[in-house]
Amino acid sequence: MLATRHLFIDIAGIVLLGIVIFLMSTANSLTIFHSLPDSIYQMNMLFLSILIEALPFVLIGVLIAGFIQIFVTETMIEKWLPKNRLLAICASCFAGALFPACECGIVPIVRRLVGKGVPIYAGIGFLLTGPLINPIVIASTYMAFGNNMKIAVLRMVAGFIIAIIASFTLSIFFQGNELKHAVALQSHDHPTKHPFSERLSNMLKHTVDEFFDMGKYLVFGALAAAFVQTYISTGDLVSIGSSVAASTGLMMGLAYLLSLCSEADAFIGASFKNLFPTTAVLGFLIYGPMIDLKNTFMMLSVFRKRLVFGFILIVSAVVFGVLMLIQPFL
Amino acid sequence: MRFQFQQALRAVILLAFVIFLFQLHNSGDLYQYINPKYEVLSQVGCFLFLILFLVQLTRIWAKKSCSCCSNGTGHTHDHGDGALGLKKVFFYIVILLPILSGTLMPEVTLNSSIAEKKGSMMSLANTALSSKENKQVDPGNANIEPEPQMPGNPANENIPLEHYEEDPNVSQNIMEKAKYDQIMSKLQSENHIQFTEQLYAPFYQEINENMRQFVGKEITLTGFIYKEKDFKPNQFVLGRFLITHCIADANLIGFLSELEHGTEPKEDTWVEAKGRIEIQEYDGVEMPALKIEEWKEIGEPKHPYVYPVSIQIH
Repeated sequence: MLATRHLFIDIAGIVLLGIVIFLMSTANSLTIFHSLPDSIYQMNMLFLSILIEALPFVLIGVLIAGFIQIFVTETMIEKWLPKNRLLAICASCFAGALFPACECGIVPIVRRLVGKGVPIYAGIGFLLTGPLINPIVIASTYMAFGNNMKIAVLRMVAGFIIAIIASFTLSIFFQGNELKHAVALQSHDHPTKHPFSERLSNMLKHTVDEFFDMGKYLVFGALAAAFVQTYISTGDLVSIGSSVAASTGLMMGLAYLLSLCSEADAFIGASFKNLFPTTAVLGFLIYGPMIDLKNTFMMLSVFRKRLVFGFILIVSAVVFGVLMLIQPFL
Repeated sequence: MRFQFQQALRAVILLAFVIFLFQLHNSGDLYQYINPKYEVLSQVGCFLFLILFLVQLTRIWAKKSCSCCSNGTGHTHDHGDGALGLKKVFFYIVILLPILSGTLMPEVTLNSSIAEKKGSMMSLANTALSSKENKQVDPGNANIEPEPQMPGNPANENIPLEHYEEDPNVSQNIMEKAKYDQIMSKLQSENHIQFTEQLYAPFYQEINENMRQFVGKEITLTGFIYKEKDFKPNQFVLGRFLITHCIADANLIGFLSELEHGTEPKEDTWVEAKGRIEIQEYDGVEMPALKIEEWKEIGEPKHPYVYPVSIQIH
């Protein structure tokens, strides 16, 4: 009975596979895909470009996560990470600042770290500063704002402070590891059992599984971001607000929807620098790398829903609040 | 030993990604998506997919996919050995979506509809507002006299610009600092400026920053036509998308243009045009604009996008 069922599924799968191969090889003769509205094609191009840009980073992130799996043990983390909550947050934000990551690659890494016993708030601190504070982002921000260091420095310093406050706030509400599959990762910590080559091959197999786990969310995220870019007018969005508070909120919303890579968003941010107050532009530059539409999907693949939504709420409130506080001095 | 269908399917999907990325590189179509500067990164991605594919091959006939999880405390993720339910089929289709849509749908170049959604006039106005003359924040710079134009020196006028046209090194867009500085410092004394693909962005920036010093100069550039709803019939923007990383961060750069007489080019046509720089007000912002003297339709260039220059310091 069971065997028949397996056989049936196998056959169904082979048929599916055949269809895919058939479609790929006869792509050009399927004219139906050539008579869709132009905006669909434009969206498709944006969708693919976001994916092509993000995929190497995601794969590298998943691989680094695999290395953490092999080389970092729970005892090491226990030894390195300060026991004090605030100190642990500061340490993880600092580690994130030193660690050159981007927002696509960092999610699997944080998942692995949290699985290894890093408290969730420290993991989030790392997730917040990793993509925001790194040499490439500093350099591109410096260049985009006409070789002016002011915005780049403000972005890093304010971003760092915001990351610490947001992680600390989060630590009040969330204590568990908040991973979707909570128990599981503990069982992986037996690095001495297997020879290195076997561990390496297991790591690579895990990489494949993680790619398939996360890949579907990445595709959804890229699709959503491409849809926004194709059908929602930036001009209409930003024309709504004119006060500092409203424009800051709008620029943060824009950063969320556009889901740009933190290494390239400075140039887009700079294209608003004379239309909006510095505070609003900073909102765009700081909020975008911390959380965006594409990233929300990726986080949902790893963390529980309540953590993801709590995280978005807290980060939004803290970014906005801190910017409003420092706004008179900008 | 049993044939693991899902593992095989995963292997095929990984291989499909390898082939898809490889074909993009091979055909040069990759430039339709990302800045060529980041090509290597994408090659790394392609290589990683290949490794994962090879690893995955070993699991197709394996009895169990992952020995390290065998102690049964639970699974962090799907190892791909369960039954293939409807939900999983859907997820596999989602992962295959980019490959399907990338193969089935035609490749297009971003056009005026994207320019409109990106609020391109707003972005042009923003650049113009960065002008030294508009801001007047830096008196040291603002007082610099326009360089003498030396009309009597033809050697200075024509020869150098022809030079830059060669070697538009699209794949990297790297330029030595000395050469870059030399070209940029001469720019204000040229009477005719030819926009090249390599220096499109710096020329645009420079003209916006010192717009008054460029008034009356003749420039030649290529670009596509973009019209905003409130434009006059003979008004349009002539420009190209600047790509920093991937086309999702495209930013239209170019000039508000006006045609004195003759038929205007249609939206989204690619043209090469010659015009003189003047200053126009749009929405209360003074910006450099072009009075088009002549234009001709050209096909879409092989490389429709322009990229920031990377200046190399030795």
